[in-house]
Amino acid sequence: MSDLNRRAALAHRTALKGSNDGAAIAEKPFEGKLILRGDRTRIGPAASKVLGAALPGKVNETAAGARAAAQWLSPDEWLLVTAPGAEAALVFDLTPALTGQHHQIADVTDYYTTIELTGTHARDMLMKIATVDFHPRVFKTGMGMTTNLGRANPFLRQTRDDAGPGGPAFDIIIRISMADYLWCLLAEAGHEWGLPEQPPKGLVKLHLPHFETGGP
Amino acid sequence: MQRFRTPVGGLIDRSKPVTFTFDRQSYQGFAGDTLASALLANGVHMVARSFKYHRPRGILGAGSEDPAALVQVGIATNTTDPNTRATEIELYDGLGAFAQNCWPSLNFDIGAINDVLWRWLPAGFYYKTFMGPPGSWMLFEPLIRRAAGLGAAPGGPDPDNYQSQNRHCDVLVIGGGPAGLLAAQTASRTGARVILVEETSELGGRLNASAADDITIAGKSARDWVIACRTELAASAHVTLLTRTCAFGYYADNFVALHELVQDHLAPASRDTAKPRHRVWRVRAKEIVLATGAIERPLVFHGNDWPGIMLASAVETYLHRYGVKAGNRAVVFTNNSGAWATAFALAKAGVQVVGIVDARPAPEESLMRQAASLGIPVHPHASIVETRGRKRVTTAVVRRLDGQGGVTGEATVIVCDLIAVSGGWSPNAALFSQSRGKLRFDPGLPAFRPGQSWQAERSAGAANGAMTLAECLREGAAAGADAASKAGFTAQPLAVPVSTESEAPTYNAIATWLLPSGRTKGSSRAFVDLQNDVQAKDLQLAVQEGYGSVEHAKRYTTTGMGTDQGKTVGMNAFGILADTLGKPVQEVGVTTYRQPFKPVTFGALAGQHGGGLYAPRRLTPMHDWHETHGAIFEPVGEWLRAQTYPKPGESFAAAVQRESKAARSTVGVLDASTLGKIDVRGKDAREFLNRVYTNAWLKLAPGRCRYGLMLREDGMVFDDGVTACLADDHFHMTTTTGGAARVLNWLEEYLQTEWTDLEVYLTSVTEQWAVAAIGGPKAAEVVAAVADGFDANPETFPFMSFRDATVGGIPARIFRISFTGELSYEINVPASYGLALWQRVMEAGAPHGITPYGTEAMHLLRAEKGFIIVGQDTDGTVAPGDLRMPGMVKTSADFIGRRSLTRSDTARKERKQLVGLLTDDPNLVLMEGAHVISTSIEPREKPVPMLGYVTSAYFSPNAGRSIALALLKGGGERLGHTLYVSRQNAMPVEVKVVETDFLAAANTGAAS
Repeated sequence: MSDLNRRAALAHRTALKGSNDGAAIAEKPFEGKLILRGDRTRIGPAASKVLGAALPGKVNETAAGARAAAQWLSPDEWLLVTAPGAEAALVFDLTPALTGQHHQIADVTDYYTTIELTGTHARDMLMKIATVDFHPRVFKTGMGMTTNLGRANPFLRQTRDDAGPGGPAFDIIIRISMADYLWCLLAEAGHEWGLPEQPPKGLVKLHLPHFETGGP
Repeated sequence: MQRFRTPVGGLIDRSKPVTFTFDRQSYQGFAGDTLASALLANGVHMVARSFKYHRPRGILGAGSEDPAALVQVGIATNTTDPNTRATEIELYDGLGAFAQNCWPSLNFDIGAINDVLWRWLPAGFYYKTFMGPPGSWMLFEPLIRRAAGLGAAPGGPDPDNYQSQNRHCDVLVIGGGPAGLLAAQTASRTGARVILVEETSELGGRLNASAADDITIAGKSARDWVIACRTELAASAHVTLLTRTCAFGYYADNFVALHELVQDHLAPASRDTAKPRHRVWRVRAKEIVLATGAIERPLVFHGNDWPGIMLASAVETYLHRYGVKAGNRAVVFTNNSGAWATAFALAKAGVQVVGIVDARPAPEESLMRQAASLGIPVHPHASIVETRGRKRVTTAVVRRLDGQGGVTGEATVIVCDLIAVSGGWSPNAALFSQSRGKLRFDPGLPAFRPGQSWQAERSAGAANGAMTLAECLREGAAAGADAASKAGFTAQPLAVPVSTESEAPTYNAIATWLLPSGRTKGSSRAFVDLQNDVQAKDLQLAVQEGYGSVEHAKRYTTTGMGTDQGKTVGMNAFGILADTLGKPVQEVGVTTYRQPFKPVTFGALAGQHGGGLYAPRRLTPMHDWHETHGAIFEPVGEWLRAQTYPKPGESFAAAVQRESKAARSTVGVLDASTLGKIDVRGKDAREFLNRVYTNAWLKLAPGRCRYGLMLREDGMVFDDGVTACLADDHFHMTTTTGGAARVLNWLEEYLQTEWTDLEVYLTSVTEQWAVAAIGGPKAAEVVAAVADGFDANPETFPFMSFRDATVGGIPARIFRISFTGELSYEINVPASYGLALWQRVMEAGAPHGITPYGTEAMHLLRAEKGFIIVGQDTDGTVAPGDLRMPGMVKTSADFIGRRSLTRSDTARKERKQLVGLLTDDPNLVLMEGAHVISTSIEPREKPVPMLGYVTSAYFSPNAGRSIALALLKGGGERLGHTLYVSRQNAMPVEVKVVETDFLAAANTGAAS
């Protein structure tokens, strides 16, 4: 019953596809997401067993385990991404495995949503709104980073190679309050490759009584 | 029709005639023309009026160096483009351009009266004349601005799209001439990521200004060599080739901004609406090659500014690139051998060259012979001392130089319609200078050229002072190889293509900063800056008035300012200043070049980050409900929060009053999702909280909550919020909405730098939870109805505790905390259920008349109880004692800011403290920020001593009167006192100092 009550952050948007596989964006709602914190040397082995992959040890590294993908966020911080609904079981298994070692597991499944960006011009779109180097020589499949896209600061990782059909794919994990802004910004960036314009939500006229009345 | 078009030649497409208008008159040109070349082909030279004197201005140059051929493109108010160089506007069918700064017309301009009065309008005239009385400049300035000026700014919203692009590369090559092309080619062959930027539509640089078959490179004609280079670069996946793109700014860490004109060269109807009009490329380059070429200097002589007087290089460009003869009877005036080639090229094209005037005492024999063979009269060691022909030059008067700084002998009068001038070449070192590189004077040029580099760049070709093609190619190849290898690539053995130039004359320029006219200084009108109407005598005046430093002279006279930034001006101005000061020019130095090299549209700078995408508006999960229920929104940081929900016809104020009343009389609900939330975990979590909050945390039991106050090290209030104990090693902290990120960073910094021994981890969970705060006498009934089988009885579910629950099957956590002082419950659910929770609360609350209230009512409700808002009732100078919250400060243990509380200033008695204020008139609401003073009559002595100020003021529906919070000096001691609050345009109003809880008996009593 509760699932009928659940609403994706971008439920009001429909997936967009440009022309000739140039650009496409779609929400992947409700992916299970956890923040794991701990000393890698202390929690790494036990966490790896549960995840099915070693915790990444360096900036820009990600690991794809059977249970979850892990993205390096800081020397003692990882984003774990698992299938929708699988987060509770992951917490359930990680918690006893890590007991006795100082750590933190925070469920952030609802904090963020995922926008999947694909297309032969996906990199061009990112280069319009990000200042870091997205050249394929530098940023490749399996790499992740936290960076600014416009004024939003998502976690991002490349999930499909450039050489693949339809070009590269990127998972962009963005806090829900900024998801609509980022969606519209991406649509704008992909306009050249056929994405339709998306007017942002919340463009309401603001009431500014102090400016209007000038006080008593 | 195009009377001045050559029969063949040029890079124009003669099969594609183009019709355009200039100043409402229709003309024809060809595809590939610029507005300037097409106008010249039609015999039109005069295109503008000058900035100050409204003198007729013609086309001086052939590219971005032109200072004054500025026109307005387009007439639609929202797309019109002012101050655009006619020399850079690519022609398209239907182009409409207009002359600016003239009225009623370009030909007859009333403003030219300024030129009649020129003797009385020297540099600094406006500043000197309109100095007083005080404030009058505000009156004069708009009038002066109207008289002196450039084009008209667009008047409506810009309908075009703009975009920014970010790029990183190994080697950025700026300039697509021979040096730049070879640098880019050499670097790209190493595998380096290369970006090549060319300002114009065509690669080739000066090669395009040469006769098609005069030059060969690597065995090919120059044109074919350029095409071969372009083909190779365009085919390379790691090369980005940008034409119509100007590198306008060179910033720190090899960051260069480029301005690409994507579609301005296309007729509006054929522009691609999916593509932007302009792009700004923001490039971070490991290594940079500056191959920006050189700019020819005009000569400074009496009457040097009329239409028909052009740079020799431009004359040659028009002839060879555009197939346009700039005149029929040409005089070439030079101080170097380079411009003789222009004379010969003109003669070859059938233009009658009626004189070569060379300021040098002894021009090269070979040139003299060639001139003689073409029948061109030569005037060595001579100068043009006067010109005639206001709107188009008709005559040049030539006299011999006497070698002593004057002229001598008989005047020769030459009838002409074109004077091609060359004062030598200056390396275009604007970007080099922006990069903080140091220029050095090269007497051989004579001009400043790049000296010591500051950033990872090198100059090559004419930009570096190279004056032959062979040198440019060699420097280009070397620069490309050097840049690539410094960027970590292995350069191939250097390959410099062999080039041949026919009759390449040596340069041999001499310094002739100001040429004598035989006139008195005051009557000579020799222009240095054609855009800003600066004459040589203005620079001399600047020195005379004490503005001899080059930066002072620039500002005093406006030399090299405006949209031109002194491209053709700089060296001549420095030279004239040096001569006036009697110093060598290297001692006078240069002005600092500033970004942008060329004007950049605001739209391009804003890129896609405008309109609705200007800034994110963070929305809560319940946003849609608020919007469909008529909420008015308030920005809180980036968040958009419902401020109030007026019913149809209800005013903002009335809605806030109604909501505030309902929240205390029945039940209200607030979307509190935006509060900052931090998950605190680790065995030392409790100790950590005890150190960051001023109150005691060691004994808080699981299931319980506590309000906490955080201070900075200086003892001042930083943030506040309620934190719940989930388990002994696990807490859920809340912060203010605006403080969420700041607090997390601050706490994380303490953990990482000061308290590395504490085992605590922090993670933001702000948006994981959506929160509905339900408060009021009926709150328990609503919560009991909405939560599954939940005992909301406040007796068994006490204040400052929490319970886990479900709401229609949705996992929830319910807190018994309150920001209104009423019985209150905050239901937290995972954010994706936020809207469902809200809808359920509204349904369950309907029988009880549940009223959604916004942030405005929330502010009012908490003020009624005297609860502070950090940032409204505190301002970073307020300590806990100032809030009169002594109970919040523990003595048992240390915490951040504790030592500062005993600092003499923090501990003194007369500090401002939070109090309540009540006016006599219950309907009078004080103004927030108004000063509290001790007297009702303003004393003579100013300023009036300020005792404090109002921090919050509302009309309270629950107290039935106006209320105010204030920070008041010694406030705690002044309770019961009568004071005054100043008002705008009214006498101070009497107030009574009271406790801050306006609903407490004492205050309600006082109110009745």
